[in-house]
Amino acid sequence: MNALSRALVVAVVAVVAAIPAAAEPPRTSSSRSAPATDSAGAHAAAGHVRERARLSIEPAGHAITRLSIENPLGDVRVEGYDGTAIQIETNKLAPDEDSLDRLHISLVPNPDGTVTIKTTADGGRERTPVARSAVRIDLVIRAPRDAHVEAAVGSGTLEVVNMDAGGDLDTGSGPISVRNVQGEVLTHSVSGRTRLAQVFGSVDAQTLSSDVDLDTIGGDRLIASVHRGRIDGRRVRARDVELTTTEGQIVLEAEAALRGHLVVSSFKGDVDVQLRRHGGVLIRARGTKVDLGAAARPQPNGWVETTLGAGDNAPLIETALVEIRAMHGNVKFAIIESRP
Amino acid sequence: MTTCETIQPRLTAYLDGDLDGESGSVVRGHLRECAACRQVARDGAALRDGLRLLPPVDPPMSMWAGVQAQLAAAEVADARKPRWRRTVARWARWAPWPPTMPQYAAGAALAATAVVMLYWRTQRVDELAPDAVAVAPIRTEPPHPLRTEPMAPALVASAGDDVTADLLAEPARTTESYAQVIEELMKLASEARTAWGDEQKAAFDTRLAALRTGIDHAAQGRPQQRAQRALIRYLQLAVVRDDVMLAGGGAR
Repeated sequence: MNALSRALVVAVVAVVAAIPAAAEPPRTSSSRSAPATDSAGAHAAAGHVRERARLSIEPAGHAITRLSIENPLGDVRVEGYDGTAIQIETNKLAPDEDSLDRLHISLVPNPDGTVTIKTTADGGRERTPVARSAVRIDLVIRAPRDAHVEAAVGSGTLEVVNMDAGGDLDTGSGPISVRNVQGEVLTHSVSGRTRLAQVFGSVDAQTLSSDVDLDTIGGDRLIASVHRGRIDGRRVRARDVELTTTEGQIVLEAEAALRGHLVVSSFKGDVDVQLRRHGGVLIRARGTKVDLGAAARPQPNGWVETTLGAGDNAPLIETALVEIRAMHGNVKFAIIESRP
Repeated sequence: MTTCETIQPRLTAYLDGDLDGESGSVVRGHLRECAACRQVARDGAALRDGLRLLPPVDPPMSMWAGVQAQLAAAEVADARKPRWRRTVARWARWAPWPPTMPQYAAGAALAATAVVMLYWRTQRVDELAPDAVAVAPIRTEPPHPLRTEPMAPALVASAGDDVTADLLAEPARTTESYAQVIEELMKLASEARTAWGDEQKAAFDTRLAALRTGIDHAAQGRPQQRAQRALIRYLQLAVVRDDVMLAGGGAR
């Protein structure tokens, strides 16, 4: 990093640090209040101190292409818009002024087009200890649509809407919500419910102990895996789909693309697949009880197979393949719409 | 009446849970009333909690052996010194030099007493039977293990619950959550493995070793969690889809 970049970084961090004390500098504003009561949530109980600030960062000569956010102290909402600047609204909450002063937000623009936003709570030397649940920082960020988002939160909500360059999203126990996003989306959560809607790009979602909800997914590839929890999918149009749970039900309503491949598997959970088909589909299923909704051929290896919509002379390469497994559960399959 | 001067030297013992009964009650009572001592206690607790976050250190047995050897050598050297040199050395540690007149007088009196005692002891040893002399065995047991989790009583306000400490501990908690799921899936995979052919087993073992190496070599925190997620996904595929592509799989 050259000297100019360093100076820029220092200047921006200084601006952000100075927001509470700044006297309405251009494009920034802040306010601090100690409401007796507040209706903004569980943390806004009597006696809490709140500080709100707004900041706008214009790109200096190069577009902002990547947004890296780390906020273990609260919610993050990223909204895409048709602009070039990043507008950040911060909302800090703490039981008292001393605790509020321990909460920091740093903003570092890098020459490569990445803007990094991080929140921390400093060590609190010689101060009264404050519980994590008593403080929070919530961020609402408006960013250029074509910026890629990498964000990590702890127990807060992570929400990304109206972005065009995908994202890599990570939470501990906080829920993830993605809506109207293009590009590749990766999500990981330990126990936060993951909801993806109107995603037009490849999706890879993984949770340990929470549900995954998918609605209108249209990329090339959709992978979702849950260790303990269910997967619900509606209007899934990805060409290759892999849904897996160790313990949990899977309900999928999908559209089988030509030459598409749907693999839906659960170790301990029922699997229910409803398919809109275009052209021929080969369905293979295995489970404690299998209902394919049509005459099926049991195979020697325990699988049950049937072919729908493909004539005897149809080339196999044109046929979509659906594989359904429920090792310790039931399989139900139905065609809900057929097009030649 | 307790004062800060009498309480503060006992705070460390109190925080370590070494004070019980009335002693602990006295300290607790003082902390309830004295803000200054309470602050000192908080600082001490913060230091203790910070030290708790450090990885435990197990001293190697060779270190204890070295300490024992040096102690033994010192004891042998002490034993070989003439008694008068040991007495002079003890005296030199305690008495200022040069001695004052009263110290000369006291020294002379002690010397006279010593002569009488020496004579009396010589007579006593001569009277003892040889087998009545007991030799204390050298203790060879290892040192008491380090206390990594001191038994501390509940403090007025625990620094361990502070937001900063909680944030520092979060990556470890997440890693532990992933590790628990890996353990669960490994049990299922072990059961599934019994039904696999040799080729599948070999492919599984190879891939498993590679993924575990990835976890071991990854930096702590997110990189390690990413590697753990890859292993979780692979194990899920192996358990749930045991008939396909065992050599592949794994999350990005």
